[in-house]
Amino acid sequence: MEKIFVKSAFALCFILFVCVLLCPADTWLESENRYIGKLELSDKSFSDRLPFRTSLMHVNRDISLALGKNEFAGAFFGENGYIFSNEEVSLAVLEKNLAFADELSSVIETHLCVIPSKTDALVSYLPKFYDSMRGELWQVSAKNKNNVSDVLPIILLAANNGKYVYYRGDHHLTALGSYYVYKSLATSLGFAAYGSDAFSVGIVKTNFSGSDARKMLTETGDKIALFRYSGDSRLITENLDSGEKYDGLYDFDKLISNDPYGIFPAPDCGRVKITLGEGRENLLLVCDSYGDSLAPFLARHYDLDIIDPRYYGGSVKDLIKENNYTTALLCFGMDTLAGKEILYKLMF
Amino acid sequence: MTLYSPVFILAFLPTSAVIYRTVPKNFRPQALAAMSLAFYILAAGEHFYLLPILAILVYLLSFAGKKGFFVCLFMFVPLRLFGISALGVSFFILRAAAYIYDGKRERNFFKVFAHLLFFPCVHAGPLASYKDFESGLSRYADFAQMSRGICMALYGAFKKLFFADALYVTFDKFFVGGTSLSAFLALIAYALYIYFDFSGCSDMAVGIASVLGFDLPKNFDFPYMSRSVSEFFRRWHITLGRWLFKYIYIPLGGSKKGSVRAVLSLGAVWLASALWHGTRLSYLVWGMYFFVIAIAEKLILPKGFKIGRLCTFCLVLFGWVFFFSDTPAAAFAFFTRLFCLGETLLYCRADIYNAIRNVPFILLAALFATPLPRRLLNMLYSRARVALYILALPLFCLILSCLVSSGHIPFLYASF
Repeated sequence: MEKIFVKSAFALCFILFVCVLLCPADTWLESENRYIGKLELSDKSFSDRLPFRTSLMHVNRDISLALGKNEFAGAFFGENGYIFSNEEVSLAVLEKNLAFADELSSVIETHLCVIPSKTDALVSYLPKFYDSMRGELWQVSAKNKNNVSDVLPIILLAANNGKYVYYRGDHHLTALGSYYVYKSLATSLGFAAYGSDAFSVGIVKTNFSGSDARKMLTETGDKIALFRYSGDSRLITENLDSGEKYDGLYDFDKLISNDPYGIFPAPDCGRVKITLGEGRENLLLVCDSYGDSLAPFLARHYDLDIIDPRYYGGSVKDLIKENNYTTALLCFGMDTLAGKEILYKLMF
Repeated sequence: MTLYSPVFILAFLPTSAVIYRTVPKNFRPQALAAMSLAFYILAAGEHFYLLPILAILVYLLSFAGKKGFFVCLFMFVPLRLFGISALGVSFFILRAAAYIYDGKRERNFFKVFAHLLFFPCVHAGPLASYKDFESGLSRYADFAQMSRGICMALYGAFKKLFFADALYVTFDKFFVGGTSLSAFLALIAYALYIYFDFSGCSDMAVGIASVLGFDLPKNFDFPYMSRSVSEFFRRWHITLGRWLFKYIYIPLGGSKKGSVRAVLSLGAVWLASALWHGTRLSYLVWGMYFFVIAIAEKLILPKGFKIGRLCTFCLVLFGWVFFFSDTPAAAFAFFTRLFCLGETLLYCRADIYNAIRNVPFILLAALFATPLPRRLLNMLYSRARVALYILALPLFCLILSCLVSSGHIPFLYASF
């Protein structure tokens, strides 16, 4: 019996090893939104290639949930089907980023818009007793010298009224959520926001699995809707990283890709321009991915130069000088602004 | 690469075991030395050359007699002073010093090299004597020993990957809280984490060595079940305790030359133990803390008197505060929090959430720190071995599921 056990154990290891060796590099890992890549002599490379990897992850998640942890891979379940992510935020990081935003205001008229993350806004959907303890972050960001657009109340109000302002399984705002941000930006930026009846809303994706849902290895049945308006297809979107250029605001091919949120302009890239070519006012939009779904609304009023400092390698100051920009809108999620030191890049 | 790496489990270990079984008996030391060197190079990273070079030095020093013992221990000093941290260096030095002290002048270099860098033990022991190692070289593991070894290694990996890693995350979660309740739960989580991390690593080492035919001494015997602090350290990191007893306490006179000498010897043991862990002042305070308790138990309390499990557990818990704190000041700040002194709150809303989410897991871990699961496994081994072997498959799947699911915390003791 021992002989069978030992031989079986060795055979199992051998079979798994062969599977690891044979696993192709272009295997897609749904939960991590990436390909496994070339085989290397590393733990990560080996564990990525293990057969039944997803099933094994499900086992681990189910055990975690059964033990009452309610958490897996940095995400946790809230009420009403919402999934939240653990966000590592700190007041010190926020203060540093805001200080750089202040410095930029000496170069250009700067407006700041801090987008609440799901944890900030969907308080009633958080698990019982969960305390994000982020009030102080909002107090600090509200005191910033720049023209701060306080979007938290309007998003909170919409969320409390049961509006679908955040995806259940993704950290981003829905198009509706971005519409509310657009409305609240109008006073600060000085444009007349269009009413909701000036847009036609259409659902373009019904089974969207966002990053939080993928972490939790589940589906939340999210829908991606677009707020279209007449003439939006006349706009030209140009991705200056890839050189790709297309008519209209949306890249519909992305709907069938691994990242359907990429349908919005400027997904994970350094610089994108949206222009109409009719001598409209320019706006420099410096943002993270929260700005992607906001850009279509702003593009109704401005020609946009969208910079994501996480990916943009050039000098923002030079860009402002070269293009004679007069107004910049900094639009970041609180999770980014208090989580990563990125705005120092604006000084170069 | 570590003992729980997929690369190790799926490729290195089976290949090594097959090679080791197939080479002629005369070439086993060479094979084992080559495997250990390969493992060390893959595992150690930046300073991969350090221990192999030291192993050559130790081999040469062993011919210089017992003087080599002190030279060997002093090799440790510059490494500590210059902050050079090679994987497993602390364990290496103890193994090397013991080898020299025992006076075995082995002429076969490969045997000495394989002993000093024996790959199952290189991370965190257990500290086996050269005699134990040499007797393992002379025999093949039979299938019964191999199967026991596989089960032991699986159980060790389960302790490390399922409990220790998650407990560390739990500790971290409570540690950042500012309340008394969070400090208390952080301390419990740390006590369990360090036990599962270290004993899991030791179990894996013993199991893997067993697959190759080596009988290594056990390193843990359910220490949290101890009824006195002295007993705790007889059950915790047993092989280090034995090493300190044999190579420091006894040569310094031990308890046979009066109470004063015994106290001094014990002081030297605790000082050595603290310095072995690191040069941080908090380790010295940790050593001093347990030295005082050990003296109190030895000299003040009546002979045979046990302070009880709960009291021992609490004293050990307080000791861990010095162990995980970077400075004594940080440790005392933690105590201030723990005992709700100053402006510390007793608890907050976030503590309730974290407690609800983590206490069931902590309780499960606490259950596995008792002898009950081991007794159950032993019963299965003796009465229903097939069931135990069948149980190994889901356990293996669970280990794989832990491996694919999240990042892992390196063995704590590998960094000493």
